[in-house]
Amino acid sequence: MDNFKFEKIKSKYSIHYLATDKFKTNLIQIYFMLPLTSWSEAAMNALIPAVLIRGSNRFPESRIIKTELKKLYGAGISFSVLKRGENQLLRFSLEYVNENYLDENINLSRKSFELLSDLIFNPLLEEKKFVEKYYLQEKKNQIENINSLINDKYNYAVEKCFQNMCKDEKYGIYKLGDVKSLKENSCEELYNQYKKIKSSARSSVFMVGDFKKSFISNVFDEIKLPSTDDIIDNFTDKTVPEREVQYITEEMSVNQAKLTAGFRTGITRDMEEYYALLVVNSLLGGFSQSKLFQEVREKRSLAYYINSFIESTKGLMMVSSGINPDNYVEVLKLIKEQIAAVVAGDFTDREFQWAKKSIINRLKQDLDSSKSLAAHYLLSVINDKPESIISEINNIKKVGRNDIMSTAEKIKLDTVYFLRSEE
Amino acid sequence: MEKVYDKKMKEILIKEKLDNGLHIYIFNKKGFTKQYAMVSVDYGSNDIEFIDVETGEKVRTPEGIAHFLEHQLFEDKEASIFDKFADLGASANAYTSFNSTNYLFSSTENFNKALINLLNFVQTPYFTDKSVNKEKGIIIQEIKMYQDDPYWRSLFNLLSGLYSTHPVKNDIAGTVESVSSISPEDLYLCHKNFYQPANMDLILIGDLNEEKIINLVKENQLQKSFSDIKTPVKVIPEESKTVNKKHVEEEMNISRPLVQIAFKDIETPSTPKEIIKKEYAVNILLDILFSRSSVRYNKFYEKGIIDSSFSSTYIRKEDYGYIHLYGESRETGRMISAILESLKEIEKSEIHEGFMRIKKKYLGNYIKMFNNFSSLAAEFINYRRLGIDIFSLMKIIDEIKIEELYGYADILFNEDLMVESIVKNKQD
Repeated sequence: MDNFKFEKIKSKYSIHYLATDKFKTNLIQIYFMLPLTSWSEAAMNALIPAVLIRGSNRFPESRIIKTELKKLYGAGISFSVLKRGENQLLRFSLEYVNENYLDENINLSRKSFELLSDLIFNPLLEEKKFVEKYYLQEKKNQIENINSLINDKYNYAVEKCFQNMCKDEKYGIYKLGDVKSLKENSCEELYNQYKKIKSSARSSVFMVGDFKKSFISNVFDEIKLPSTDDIIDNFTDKTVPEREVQYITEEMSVNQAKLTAGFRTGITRDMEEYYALLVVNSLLGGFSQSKLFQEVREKRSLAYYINSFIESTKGLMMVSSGINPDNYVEVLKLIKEQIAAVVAGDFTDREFQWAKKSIINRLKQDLDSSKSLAAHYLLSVINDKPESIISEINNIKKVGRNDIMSTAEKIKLDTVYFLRSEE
Repeated sequence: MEKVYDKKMKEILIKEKLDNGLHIYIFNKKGFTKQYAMVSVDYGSNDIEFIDVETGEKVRTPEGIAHFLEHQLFEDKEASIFDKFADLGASANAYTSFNSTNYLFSSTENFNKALINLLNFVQTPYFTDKSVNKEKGIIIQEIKMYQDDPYWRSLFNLLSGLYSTHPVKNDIAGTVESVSSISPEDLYLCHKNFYQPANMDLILIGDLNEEKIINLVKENQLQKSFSDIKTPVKVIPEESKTVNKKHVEEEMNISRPLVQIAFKDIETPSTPKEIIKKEYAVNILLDILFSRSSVRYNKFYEKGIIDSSFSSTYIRKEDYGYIHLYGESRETGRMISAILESLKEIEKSEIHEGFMRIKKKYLGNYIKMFNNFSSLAAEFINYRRLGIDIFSLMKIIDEIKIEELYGYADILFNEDLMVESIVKNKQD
């Protein structure tokens, strides 16, 4: 029970289960994987969970659903739309208190799971489609959600950089789609899309917690997942285009400018070099001792934040910073210099050890959160390289200085996006 | 050393008070990998005025100084504090709120060494003109970043409408001007006054050897001398029984308007237990009236007046309190008037019906609180400062009577004490 490994449960479906009693809650997530094909289809897919969550046959209204969840000791049901590589993922999550902490014997697992599966698989219908009222309200909300990205300048700048960088690739499609095509779709089309997903999408279930055997064996006989195929990506285009760096500037009334730089790594999670890339990213901008944080913020006070992160299904890296617009040239130069420094081996052994320890410490901490355990394993399933955290840590430990230098050499600057105040 | 085992939650809590006044609390979590330590100083952005322990005179310090001090303590004479933590594979962080400053790290090994690092850097001030000036550049960038955050901006507009003198109206980080005026002497003064062991709590969570750790901390504390065990008297100016401004409005580059409404609560309960009880009672009332299982929320949602961004909470501290409603809406006028209209027709039956169902949810939330180390530490400190034992929380909640909710529903939604803060879209 202590190795924190997900096991695949014997079932016709792909069910990944990590048994542990160390958490006070149990977590169940159901995933549907949908390849990104167009902005309009992405917009429709993203709308589906929002409409489903509004009401099912047994629980036809939000008020009834929320009242039921209260009775289930504040169980939570939520959905998210994710993008991993060139796939959209619809995630439905259920988290509820482990029954061992309650006096009442109410079979919380079963009751809350029934609510979740009723919402997903048994939607409330009218005239053989979704309820028009729910469809219209959620469509309006999704339009607001898409538009509201601009309120969060950090994520806005990162998203704009990715969109510009991959505008001719499927990865350039925003996970919530676009407002224009959302406005054009109909309730009927949406329901047809739902039926399509329900009959053919790749899907799987993740469970973390302390579940009774009887619950596990019964429950999955009752639900009907669309497909027996696990959510493995075989769709993402991973080629690195050869081209000049593009520089894009957008003006807006902001107090702090955002400088984001998108890179191609060509390295994905299933590749041997992935572990070295993790260390490269850590060394560059993964934590407070990273080269970028030290050079840009600590030594020169040029930014409040600067960090980097990788996308490991498509093979991208992003550096993101909040700066004074006058420092654009200097910060960009420093970013380029720091990457060159890593390639040249210009980093101390201490920095190298820090970078590794920082990732390992974070990964170990993921062992203490059911959501982090699931999120970590999700990525490895998608990339068809199921791996436990412990095994990943061991692989990171093996990374040497030379691996870092040769891996860093593969990182190519692709697009610089700069959001600044009007001049 | 006192050891408490809570049978229901299956949690072990160890408590110890050292001779110098430092309190230590250890949640012993068997089977967890992560170790978490937090020093919480009873000193936040609200505490800009106080009586100096040395001179006995009242001093007023620049806004944002508690947060500035938090940043500056990470500076050290010989080596960078962050470097020391990085060597141990631990990651350190800190945050300042209205009422406290918290320094923390999480680790998976070398816990004892990291703990000593933490205590040493928090208790060893080292400020120079050079380091202070460098920090000003960083903090001014931070202030600017928050100025681009529409929620944060409108929250402080709201607070400045609610309060005319209480320092909670000031941004935690201060202003560009106030931060620019901070000197090393100011920082030493605040450190001397507030960073006394008796004004701090140490919370440790993880699979830990409590006896060894307590001895280690004792030993560390014995090596240090503290000027005075007295803690400073905070001066909170008397706050008016009315609001400062009823309406505050601003324009920003955002997708749709954002509304924050508050009702100032001018009645402060007299005992800590009553404060907690009121905090929960009013939050339960708001839950019944405005949560997603309420009639109101669903009616407004269906009419398109609010969306899932809508939230309601009641803030209750020893020296201030208010009901806080938040939402994004294209129709700010309709949203506000619909809320106010609906508050005129609160039925006792509605409260009664909701009240019957709510306790299970609060019990669920209480159980969940023990799952996450950082929120457990923050909640624990919050209650401990008021002298409340975290394991007695459900008992306090159980004591809440429905009549109290009827009473709060009658008095708290007073339109004379209401403030609205709106951020509109620049292009509108």
